[in-house]
Amino acid sequence: MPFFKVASNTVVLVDDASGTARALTAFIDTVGGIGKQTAQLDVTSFADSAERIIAGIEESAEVTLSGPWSDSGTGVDAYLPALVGTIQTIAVSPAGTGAGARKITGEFLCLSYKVNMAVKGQVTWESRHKLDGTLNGTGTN
Amino acid sequence: MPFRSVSVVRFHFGGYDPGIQTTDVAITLGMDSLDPTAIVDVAERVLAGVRNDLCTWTGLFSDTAKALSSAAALVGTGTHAISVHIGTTTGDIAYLGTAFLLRQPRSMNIRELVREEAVFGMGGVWTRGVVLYSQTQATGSATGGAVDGTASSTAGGTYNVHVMQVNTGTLNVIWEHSATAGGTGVYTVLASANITTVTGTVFAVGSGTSIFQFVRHRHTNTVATGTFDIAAGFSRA
Repeated sequence: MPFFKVASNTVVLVDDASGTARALTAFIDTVGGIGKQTAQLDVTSFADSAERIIAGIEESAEVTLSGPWSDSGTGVDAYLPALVGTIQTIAVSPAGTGAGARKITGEFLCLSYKVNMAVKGQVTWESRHKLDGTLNGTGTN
Repeated sequence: MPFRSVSVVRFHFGGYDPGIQTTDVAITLGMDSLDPTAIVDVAERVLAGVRNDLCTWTGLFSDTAKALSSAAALVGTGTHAISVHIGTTTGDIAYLGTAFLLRQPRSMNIRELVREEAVFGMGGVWTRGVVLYSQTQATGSATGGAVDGTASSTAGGTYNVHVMQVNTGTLNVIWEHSATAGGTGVYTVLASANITTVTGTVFAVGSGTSIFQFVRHRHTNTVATGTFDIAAGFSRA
C-alpha cells in the first residue's frame, strides 16, 4: 500500500528569528493539528427542512510541535525561545522532501514554548503556533 | 544530540532546593494572541499580545529545610530568584528569572503521600542562559569554569545565585568577567555579595555596561569548616 506514509519520513522546517529555515526534524516526534479548517455559517431558514450551511473564512488553526528536548546548538532550544510572539514560516513535508512530495506551509504566530520535566522521564518540549492568514496545503517539494 | 534525562534537572527558588521532593516542573515562554481579522480577510489573522510566561511545579510534601514546603513564608513576599538548570555542568542550558510564590496548596488523601504544588507568577519573562556553578556541600573557596559568550556585549545580563544551605561562616559569591580566554584570563568583578543565610539573589547589569566574552562564578568561604549548597546561572540580555 504505497499510498500510506510513515511519519518517520516527515520533515519540519521552522524559520528562526532571522527568517532562516531551520530543520528541526531530529527534535520533533509529534506534529499536531496542521491542516486547513474553515468556519461554518448557518443559513438555515424557515423554508428549509434540514440545516443549511455555507463556508465562512478560513479559521486560524493551532499547530503543536513537540519532542525530546536537546541543548544542541542547532536544536529547538537554540531557536524557539526567540520565536515566542513572532510570526514565522513553518513548512511540514509529511512524507519527506522528495520531488513532488506534499509540502504544507503557513505563517504562524508562536504562542508558547514550554519545557516539561517530569520524574522518571526525559526532558521534553512543546510549542504552540497559531496560523496567520491562509495555509498552503497543496504545495509540493 | 545531547538529549537529557530529567534526573539532571535542578530547580531553585529563593534559597530553596526542592530537588528531592519535585516530581514535575514546566516552564512556559508564552504570548497572548489578538484577533485583528477584518471583513476583507478570507482567513483569520493573528497578532502578538503581551508575554505571559509561566512556571508550574508539583511535588511531594517534605519538611526538610531545603524543601519548597518550607518556603511557605515566601508566599506574597515579592519576587525571588527562580532558576531551572537543565544540567549541572558549567555551560549547560539554564532558564532564569524572578517570580512571586502565589500559593502552595497541599492535598492529603488516605493511603497516599502528601502532595504539594506551587503556583508562581513570573516577575517578567524567562531568560535563556547557562549554568555557571552547581555544587552541594561546597567547602572552602572555589572558582567555577568560564563560559565563553563568543563576544563582549553591552546589552546587559543577569546572574541568579542561590545559596541553599549555610553551615556557619560567610560565603562571598562573586560574578566575574574577562575579555581574554578561559581560566587564564584577567577577571574583574561584575557583582558580589556576602551571604550568611539561605537566599536567592539576582544581580543585573543594565544595557550600556559591557559584559565581557568570558563569565564565571567564584566564591570564598570565611570558615574552613562551613559547607554551602550553591547554584548560579547567567544570561545575557
